[in-house]
Amino acid sequence: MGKSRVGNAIRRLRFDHDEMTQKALAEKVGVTRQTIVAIEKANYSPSLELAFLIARVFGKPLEEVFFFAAESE
Amino acid sequence: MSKQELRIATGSVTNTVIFIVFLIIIIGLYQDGRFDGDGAGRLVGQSVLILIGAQIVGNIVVAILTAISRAIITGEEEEPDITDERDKLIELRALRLTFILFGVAFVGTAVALSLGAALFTAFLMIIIAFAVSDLVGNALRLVLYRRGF
Repeated sequence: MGKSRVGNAIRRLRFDHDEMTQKALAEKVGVTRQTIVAIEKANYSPSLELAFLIARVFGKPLEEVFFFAAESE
Repeated sequence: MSKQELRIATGSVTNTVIFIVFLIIIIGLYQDGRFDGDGAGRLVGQSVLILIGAQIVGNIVVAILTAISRAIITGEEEEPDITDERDKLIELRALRLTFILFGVAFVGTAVALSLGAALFTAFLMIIIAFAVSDLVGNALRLVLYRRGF
């Protein structure tokens, strides 16, 4: 539990995509809005499949959406 | 409070209230001597079935009333009932804790029986363990939903 070491740029990417709402993103990838909130806050690491789906919504490669926060080691 | 959290909280309260009422009735029956003699096993079976039935009906009624109240208070449309990967993981973790607690209590009951505890005591221990482990599992669900995971 607690903060995941997998960070993400979802919040910025949503902003860059016409201020897409969390609800809209959740509907596009088939999860609840609460799951998107948890991922954005790095409280939950999504499965690889969900991570790819989110990256696809923003038209970005996976590594531009998610990154491994190695500095917290 | 999200839809899932509300469902878990109302479910826990419903189950706890029904269980307390059940416990009061069962202890009353015990004091009347209904758990002595040949019909005790049958009464135990019937009472467990009644408890399960009451909890199922109670949860359905409360879930419907909660959904209606929520829609009236918030004025929002009911969100689609999606169960995603995080919901499933939370469910698995909570179920694991519930099973572990119930398993420990079950062994504890076996130990109590082997030490000479009465059958009614064992029955009470089992159903209290069932209720408490379910409640603790629901508490973990709420914590995980609150934290994100």
